[in-house]
Amino acid sequence: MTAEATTSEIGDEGAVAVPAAVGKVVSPARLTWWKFRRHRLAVASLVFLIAAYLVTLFASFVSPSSPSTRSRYLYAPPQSVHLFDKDGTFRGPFVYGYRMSRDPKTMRLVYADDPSRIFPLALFVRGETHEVLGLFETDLHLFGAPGGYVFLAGTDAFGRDMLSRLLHGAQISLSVGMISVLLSLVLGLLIGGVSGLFGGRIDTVIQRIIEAIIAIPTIPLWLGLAAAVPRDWPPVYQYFAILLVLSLVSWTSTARVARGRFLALREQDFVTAARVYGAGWFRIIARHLVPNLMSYVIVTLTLAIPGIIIGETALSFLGVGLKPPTVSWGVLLQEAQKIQTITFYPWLWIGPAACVVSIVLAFNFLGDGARDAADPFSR
Amino acid sequence: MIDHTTSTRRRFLQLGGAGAAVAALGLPVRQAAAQSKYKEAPALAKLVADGKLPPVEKRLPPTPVVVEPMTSTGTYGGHIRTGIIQNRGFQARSAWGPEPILRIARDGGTIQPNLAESWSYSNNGRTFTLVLRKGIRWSDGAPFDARGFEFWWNHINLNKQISPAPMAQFIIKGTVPTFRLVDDHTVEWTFPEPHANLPALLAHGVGATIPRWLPRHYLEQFHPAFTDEAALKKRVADAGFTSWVDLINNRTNVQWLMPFLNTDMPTLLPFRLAQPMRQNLLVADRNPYYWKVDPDGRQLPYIDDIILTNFESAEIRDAAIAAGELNWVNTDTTFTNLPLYKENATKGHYVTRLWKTSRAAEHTFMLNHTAKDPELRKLFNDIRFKKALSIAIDRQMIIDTIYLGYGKPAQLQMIPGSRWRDDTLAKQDTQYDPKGANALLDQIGLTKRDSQKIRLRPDGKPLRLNLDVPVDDPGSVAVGELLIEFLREVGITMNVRSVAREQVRALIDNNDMEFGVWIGDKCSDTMFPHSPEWHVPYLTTGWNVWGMSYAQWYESGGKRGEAPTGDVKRVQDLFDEMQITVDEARRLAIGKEIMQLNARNLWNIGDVGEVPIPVILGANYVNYPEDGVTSFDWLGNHHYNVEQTYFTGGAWSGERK
Amino acid sequence: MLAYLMHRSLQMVATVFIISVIAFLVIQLPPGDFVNSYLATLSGGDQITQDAVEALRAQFGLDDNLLVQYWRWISNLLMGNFGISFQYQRTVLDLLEERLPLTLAITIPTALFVYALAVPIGIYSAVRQYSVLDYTFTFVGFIGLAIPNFLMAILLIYVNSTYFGGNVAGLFSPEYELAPWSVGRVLDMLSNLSLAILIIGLGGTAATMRVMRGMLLDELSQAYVETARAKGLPEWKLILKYPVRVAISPVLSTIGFTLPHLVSGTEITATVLNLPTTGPLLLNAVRSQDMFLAASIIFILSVLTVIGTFLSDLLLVWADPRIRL
Repeated sequence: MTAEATTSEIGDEGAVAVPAAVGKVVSPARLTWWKFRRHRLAVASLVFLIAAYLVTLFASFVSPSSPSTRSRYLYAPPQSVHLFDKDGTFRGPFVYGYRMSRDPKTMRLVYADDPSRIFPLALFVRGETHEVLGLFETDLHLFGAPGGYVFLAGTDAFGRDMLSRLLHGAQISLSVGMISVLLSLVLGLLIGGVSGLFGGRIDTVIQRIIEAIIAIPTIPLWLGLAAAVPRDWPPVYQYFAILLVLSLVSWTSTARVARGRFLALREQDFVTAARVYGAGWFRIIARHLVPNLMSYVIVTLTLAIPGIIIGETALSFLGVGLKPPTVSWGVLLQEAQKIQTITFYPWLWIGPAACVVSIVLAFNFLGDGARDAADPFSR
Repeated sequence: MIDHTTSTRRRFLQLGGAGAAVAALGLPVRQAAAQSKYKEAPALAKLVADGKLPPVEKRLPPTPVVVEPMTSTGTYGGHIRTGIIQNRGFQARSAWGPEPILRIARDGGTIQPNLAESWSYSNNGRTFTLVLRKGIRWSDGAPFDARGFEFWWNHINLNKQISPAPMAQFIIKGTVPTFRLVDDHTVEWTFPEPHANLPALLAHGVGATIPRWLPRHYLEQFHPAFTDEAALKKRVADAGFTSWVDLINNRTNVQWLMPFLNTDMPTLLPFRLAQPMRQNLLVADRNPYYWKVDPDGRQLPYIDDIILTNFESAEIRDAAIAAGELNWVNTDTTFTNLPLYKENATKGHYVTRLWKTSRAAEHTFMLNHTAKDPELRKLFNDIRFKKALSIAIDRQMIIDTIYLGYGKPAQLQMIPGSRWRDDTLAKQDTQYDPKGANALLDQIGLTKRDSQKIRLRPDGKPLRLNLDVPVDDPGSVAVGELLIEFLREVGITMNVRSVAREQVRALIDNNDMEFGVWIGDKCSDTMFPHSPEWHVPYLTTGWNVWGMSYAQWYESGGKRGEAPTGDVKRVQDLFDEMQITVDEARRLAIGKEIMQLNARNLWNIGDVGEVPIPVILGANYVNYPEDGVTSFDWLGNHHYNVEQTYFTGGAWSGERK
Repeated sequence: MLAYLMHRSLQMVATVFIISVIAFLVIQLPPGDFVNSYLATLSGGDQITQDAVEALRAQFGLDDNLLVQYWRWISNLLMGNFGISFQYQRTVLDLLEERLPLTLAITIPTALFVYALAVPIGIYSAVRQYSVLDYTFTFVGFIGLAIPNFLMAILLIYVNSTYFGGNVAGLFSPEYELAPWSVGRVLDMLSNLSLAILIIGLGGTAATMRVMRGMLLDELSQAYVETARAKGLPEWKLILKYPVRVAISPVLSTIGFTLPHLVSGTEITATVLNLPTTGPLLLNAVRSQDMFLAASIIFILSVLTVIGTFLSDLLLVWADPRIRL
């Protein structure tokens, strides 16, 4: 318990508090920021996410190659970065070349380090030309192994660099999917809010609609949609269109939950008070009711993010997901759903799964921190 | 049409004779020399001892068919454990040894007697006569005879309620043949022209499908022509149906050529349904009335039963193989999982053999020659465009990346060993030459390019090909992914869309597919003369994307689809001729011409040929070839007589205790 | 109350009717019809002429307009006849009888497993927020959520069969697959089902546990909790008595969805574990446009949905006395 928290005497709407330790008036936003900063994991998560988005933004620069560049090293395991060679001599950061051979028994390619081939790693190396932010072209890459090759996350069935694929995949997974998540959340809260707030006939109608949406199977919807989306659209647009429809049917649980809570909250004094003051229903939902559901909202968001990334894999199963050569984490996970991958090439699933887990955990901790900081009652 | 009548007549005599000769000689199926004491499986012997089954001599025909074992005579016992994926039973077909009316010999080509002991042509080749084997019994003990054919032909095949149209493969020149029941063991059909492919058809799918409708003693109770109306109505209602057609379809339901729902349904196969598919598990056990024996007089099959699991996904099926739970998977294995199969073979008590298939190329890429988009249509009919596409493909890359180094660049001609194969044509336009491809495309006039270096069509739009790939074929998805890059090199952008199989059908039927891909099978001598699906557009239920409109025209007699001209018309005419030509020299020439026309027009663009297929068999499973063939063309691999295979010691070494 | 029940029942009937109409139309959305998918199952050797195809359409009644087809189906259904499945050539009732019992045998224990595990963990995580265990649950939960069910199932199957000698192919171990029903066979089946329950349950548990934690955190920060605490109520009693009852509302709000989910929602796991449940049946029926089968299963789902939401509304009122419907 710190001085700050104990001395906070805070009203319903987070009135200005005066931390004794500081001794001057601070704005609620600043206060929230102070509280947030003390939540170390949340801060770390924020930093991590900013870094992740930056890397994603400049994915073509950070990754050593394009996501579809093939090499002759198929299913090669990740190389490890060494500083000292086999004799113990310091060589700076480097990777060993592969010694590739076909296992005569299983016909599988097997790899070993080739100690005679040492590829030193360097920063800012020249490589394939790529477009940065769609603005300018360059052949500069953050790192690489000039004169050799570097596959820090291994390669896939076509010999493509997994690291480059993961980084490029993030561009789709961290943008397109998120929009759909947000849309579905907003729809759910609004419709659920209206339903719970007004009750009566409106509630009845909305609830029946929800029942209908739940009961109607989505598979024929996807199949019909897959046939209806114009083929001339680039894969990303097609995918986005499908995600939009996905969010149009996926708001129902959020709406049910919001409605359940609002049915209870609408009887509370502060809602009545807001009504008396003539606040509109949108304002009541956004300013008075949703904050009471903050944790739930954060939970829904953090659950929806892996949901949407993984949902892609189910869509591809029906032939409506992202199509090659576009990559996303969902596509990578989809490609990894093979018994052979699990037996022989674990890096193909561990990579994307680790990415999804770390991003979701970061969002989750950030959410926890934000909630604690915004909540006037938190200790 | 046929201007060599005399020679054909002679051919008919020879052909009919040949059939009889094979029957007499027995190659390797021969009649038992003496009716000595027959032996049977211990479980059946016990039933006989208990009086629940007649003795084996009474169950077998007076002269049972003797099956020569492939290497050695066997011991009774053991389970064949196999699996199918999502109820699609291509795999299952050969597991219980289909018994078509005629059959394909172990050499994979010769046609042999089976249920019928001989066949012959007469009446200038127009009448086809089948003589059935005597003394065969259905699995319920009832005798099998020609009156079943009468039931099938008159009361099923020609009954409009249950068969909307008579079986297409029996129709020559648009005419339904006349059928005659000659005696209890002989039937004949008379056609307007000789039906030259009929023996081959009767040794394949057609001949294996008909027996469903032959157990007339059992089926009459469901048919209005034989059953009192009130009784039938009650029977239908009791089963929860509304019409007798639904009921009889349900009672005779056959999937993968064997009874599937109804354990009462009589069969002629080595195995009969013991437990219908429940909880994804089906069991078929030994048919006590099976009509074949080994040279020592032991009634076949050696193996006790078939245990078949339905898998909802190929990956899990492969996991089950790797875990040593299956001992018989050989038509739909996943080539790319070969390392997985090999790695776990010892542990899982199985062997992985590499067999040949009927695929002249693993995939055929087909441009729709009647595409709705006029610009594309023009390009797709331009041989320079197709050539450019073909030589833009780096086939060695496909071999190395997808097929673990197996295979050779190939067009979709015929498989090696086929009498219609021409090695030069099979390799034509398969050399990787992006420069040449670019030159050809420039030559067509596709010289303008957009900022992405994609060529522009004459109407100014970027040149985009939309490839539709069936979602359940991982192979074509992978090749499609590589194709995107090959085509980008020559300035063509490509969209790959994976589509559910059902939707692929709808797209093809409505002429909505621009660019399609399918597995390039059916390129063997057993299949090509009667089912040249890729090389001739004639089949509206097939997957030929390049000429579906022409096929619709062909099949509807000009009412639907689009009239073919030039070479397309020519191959259809050649196919017409093939159907009524018995003369082997002429048949060879017809096939050769079809192949040449295909090479000249590149209707199909093949990728890689001679890729083997992994075959999983139990480690101590005997009498099955080291180096065999398997494909739809041989109904899987039924010509290896699964009934004469066995496990040494009478059980699979990997059987779990 | 009685009036409310009457009123609600009428609404339920109307909803089911409307859903059945919409569902029937939605099934027709993908291009083509059952005859197309039937033809798709044929292989090259089977040859059918266009006339035969049209006759087949007529035989299945697919050439009638949709309203006629709908009426044919719903009028039969009201008389207890669910029609036949084109694809399986069996009555729909027969198919359901085969699959529903097993479906329920898997899904009901799974639902119980999810709630029994997730609700206590959620409560613990909220009350002991930021404890080591809370972090552990968070971490494990998100791993469960971030790995697709299918991948997770393959992983578990692989581990189970490689390291524990478990069975890949489904319901029975080899020694029981041919045996008649017995106590041993049932036990064997249950032991194989436990993996299924674990796999389906994992995703649900992680989600429910997070929701429970979030809601309870919201509730714990309310003034009345502080008041109750000030009055000296024992901590655990206090939490369980009020905030938990309110915080469980999202779980209750969506409990109605679990009923239809029980029937349809186990597709992936059933697919992976080869369990013949209604999930894959529906998936197949819808994909191949096996109309009566698909429509009938959807009809059952919609009935379960409206009953489920009704129950869930009643539970909401019971749990939170402030709610008036």
